[in-house]
Amino acid sequence: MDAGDNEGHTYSAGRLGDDPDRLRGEALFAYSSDAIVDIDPVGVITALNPAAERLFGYHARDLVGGPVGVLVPDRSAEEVASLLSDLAGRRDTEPYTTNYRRPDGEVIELSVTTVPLVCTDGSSAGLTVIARDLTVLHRSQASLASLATSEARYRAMVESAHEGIGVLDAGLRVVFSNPRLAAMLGYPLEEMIGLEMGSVIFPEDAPSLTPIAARGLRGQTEQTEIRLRRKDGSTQWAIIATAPFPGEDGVIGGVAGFFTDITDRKHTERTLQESETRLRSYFEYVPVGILLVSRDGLVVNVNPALCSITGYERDELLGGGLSVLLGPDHPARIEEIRVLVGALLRGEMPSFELEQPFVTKDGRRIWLDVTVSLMRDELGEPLEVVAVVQDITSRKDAERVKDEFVSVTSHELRTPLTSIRGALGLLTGGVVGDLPDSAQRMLDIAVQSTDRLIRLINDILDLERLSSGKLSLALEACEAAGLISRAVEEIRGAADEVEVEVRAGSVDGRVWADPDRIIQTLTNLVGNAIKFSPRSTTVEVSAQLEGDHVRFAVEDHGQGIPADQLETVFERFQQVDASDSRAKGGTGLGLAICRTIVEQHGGRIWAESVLGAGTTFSFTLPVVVDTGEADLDDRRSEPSVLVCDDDAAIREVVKTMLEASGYRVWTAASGEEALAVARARHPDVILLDLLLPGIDGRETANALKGQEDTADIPVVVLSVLTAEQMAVEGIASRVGKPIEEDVLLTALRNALGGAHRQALVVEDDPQLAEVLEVTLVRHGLKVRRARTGREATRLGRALVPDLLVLDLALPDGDGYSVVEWMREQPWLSTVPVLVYTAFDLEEADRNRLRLGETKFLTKGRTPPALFEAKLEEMLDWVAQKAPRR
Amino acid sequence: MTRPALTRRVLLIDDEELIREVAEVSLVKIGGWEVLTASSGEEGLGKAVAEHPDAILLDVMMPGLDGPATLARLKADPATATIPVVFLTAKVRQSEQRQWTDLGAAGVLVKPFDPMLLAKQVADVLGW
Repeated sequence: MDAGDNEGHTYSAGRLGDDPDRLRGEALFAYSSDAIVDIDPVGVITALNPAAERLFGYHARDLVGGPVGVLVPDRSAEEVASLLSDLAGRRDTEPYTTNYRRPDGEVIELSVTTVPLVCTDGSSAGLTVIARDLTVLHRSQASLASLATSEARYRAMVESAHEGIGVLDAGLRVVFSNPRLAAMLGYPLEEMIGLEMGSVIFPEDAPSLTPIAARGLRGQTEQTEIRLRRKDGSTQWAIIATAPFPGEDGVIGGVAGFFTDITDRKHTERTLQESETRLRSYFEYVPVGILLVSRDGLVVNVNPALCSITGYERDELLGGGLSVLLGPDHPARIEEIRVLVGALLRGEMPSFELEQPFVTKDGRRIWLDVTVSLMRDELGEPLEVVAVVQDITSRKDAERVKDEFVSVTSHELRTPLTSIRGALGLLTGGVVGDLPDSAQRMLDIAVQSTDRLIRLINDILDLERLSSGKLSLALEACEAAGLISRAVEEIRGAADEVEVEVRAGSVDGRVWADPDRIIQTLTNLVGNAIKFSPRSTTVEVSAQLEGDHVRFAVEDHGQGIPADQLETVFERFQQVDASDSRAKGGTGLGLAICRTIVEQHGGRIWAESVLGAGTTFSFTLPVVVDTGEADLDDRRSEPSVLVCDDDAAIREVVKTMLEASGYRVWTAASGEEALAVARARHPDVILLDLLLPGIDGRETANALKGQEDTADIPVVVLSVLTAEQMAVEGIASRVGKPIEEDVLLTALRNALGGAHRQALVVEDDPQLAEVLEVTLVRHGLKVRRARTGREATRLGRALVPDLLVLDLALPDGDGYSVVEWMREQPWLSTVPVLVYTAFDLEEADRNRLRLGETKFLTKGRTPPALFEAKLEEMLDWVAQKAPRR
Repeated sequence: MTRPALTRRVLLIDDEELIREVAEVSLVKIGGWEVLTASSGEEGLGKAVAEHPDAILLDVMMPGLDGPATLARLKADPATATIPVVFLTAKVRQSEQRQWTDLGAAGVLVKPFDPMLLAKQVADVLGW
């Protein structure tokens, strides 16, 4: 409502006379903060003042002359009339409260006083209504109440705060302290007021506080660490944060200080610092070299011991890599270490250890033992690589001296034994003339004892070299079947002599093993079993897959071993029954050697026995784990070949050659082993040397052909003889010696092709490949699968497919490069191709994809039935045009 | 060039006189071969060139030219390169022969040997 409307008195002209009472009445009416409304006896508003206009939300001109009912809109006219007459008759003027809804919708609470106007003649002149808005009053009351609550809340917070809170005046005297601050300083709360902060702050720290407090007084907020002297003299560490504190008049009157107790933290820090100092002194003075390498591979610290071991100054080593310990001429070793450190960082192993030759700065050749581990921070993140380096030159020298001693002793003992054994052998053999029986008997004793002495020396040396690690294991994946058949073959002669049958029982599994050592172990155990077996009994050798290992068992039906000796038989020179064992010619070291060999393989060896019924010696070896699905796929796709040759070097060369050409390779050193492996693995083709010890190549081939489960495996022989000279039945082809790679691969490819019709499916989608395979297999083809172009060309070396099914989009390129490569290979250049692709191809593209008969199918557009029809058409064509090789 | 089996000539190189004697008796009496002997690598090289034996049995540990060094000289000289050489050694076990055949030897036999079997073992190694 604007000022122009503030002229209420004009509406009331003529209401009263022009006397002072009237004028005061006019003024009251016009300027009262209460709303005043005059109503005549019939309920018509005759006047209302500006306060009423504001309160009721109407202009006077809109109401004056109108019925009062406008102001009580929720009552009917009759109710208003009745109310008026009721009010007019009342004599008391007590206020009452009521609600009023303003035209803008706001509901306000009113205190209303009605004063009846009575003329001197006693007649009614109407009513004066005085109304006051109670809402404003209530609002300010509520605000006062909430202010009180809020102060109580802040007080409670300050009182119970874990931080010490104080207010200092400009002279840094305490004007307020919460209980916590008093407790921190060790004063009763009441003694805090007036305490000068300057007197409790350590003098050394005062200089850092004063400027902060000064800036606090100027309105800045800062924090610092200070030491406070508690009342009892002890030290209180605190972080103090200051903030300006407003005084009464709104200007800054002092500084609020917030004190955080950091005494415990300071204590921990000091402990850590002491511990770090201690560690640093270890680092400096420990007699082993330490090299710290950052995660990005740079040497960040070395200790004095490392400098004195290597002869290099600290600065010469810093900034290099871990390879500073290797010297420049060990690229292979550097690569090896890079791989090991990678494994370390990935958490695959906790540490690794190397023995490393090293040339010091002054040219001395020394040996280092380097243990490398990873330091992690408290969150487990890699921090630094730590290499602990020891000079082991003197240990290495001692080892070398011992090795030489062992070697020389071995030679020196055997040399006279050779002459003794030779001379005795010639005598007992009757070579130098017949001897009387009594002399013959004595010589036999001498020969037996000499043989035993020789075995003893051999066993002692074996055990010595095994325990010292001098004989390192040449681990490879071995078929348990092959190991057992070789060991059984080796011992068969001795078994026949005492009429004990040695039989290979059920055999399963591939193990990580040094084949020579495991055959030595098996021979030893079987030899033992034979020695303690009665005539005409059986010794059974078996191998069973048991979880992550293969358990080999040698079971005899001898007299058994008492339970209390089942452990001790594995100790050196321990015998169940001394007289018994010696009579059997044992050295007492065989089982100790077996145990050493097995334990070095990470296996376990033990004996179980039933007295009178027999003994079973068992040992375990870690199984070769086929890793995951990919490997399974590979195995299914790669053609497999069994290479049988007694010459280890040839086996190795051929294996390497064939693996590089996409074959999966198993090896066997004898005909017996070949038969066992062929049965266990069913390879796609067998490469067989004809000149073999034991059963020779020809017998082996015949045995393979005679065995139902191996009869269909094509055999390629390795021989210097021509096919006619060999006259062996069922041989697929012959490869001469020395072996030429091209000739060998061609022979194997042809042998494979002769055995099966094959399709090479090049498709990276496993589901699609599966569907294709099922279809092709139903049509009698053996399927080789490749997921990439690289795999396709690898398999292409190993076989001549009767059909190539090619997906154009491959993970490592497109099918064009596969076809181009195949076109270059004489044996692949006319292979029929079925290109199976998601794209429609231009004629030029199609021409780039042609080898032999080539057909194109579009993925998704060719219904399965049509695809199969096309495939059959193709296969018919293949069968007609490409006769069996 | 190959002679009838009965007149095979074998050169035995070993510094140990007693071993030479035992082995010689064994090879002559059991094998029926003609045996030449030499007590050192140097002497052996001379006899190999002069006599061109059918095979050489060679000790490994000898003073002066040792077995491997003697083998290397034999293989380097065209006059003797084709003569098969079998190591006869007390230095290794039978199972460790691989490293020796790698040097170009036809095979390895270990000492002490059984004199009744020595000739057969040599013949087996050489394919005689």
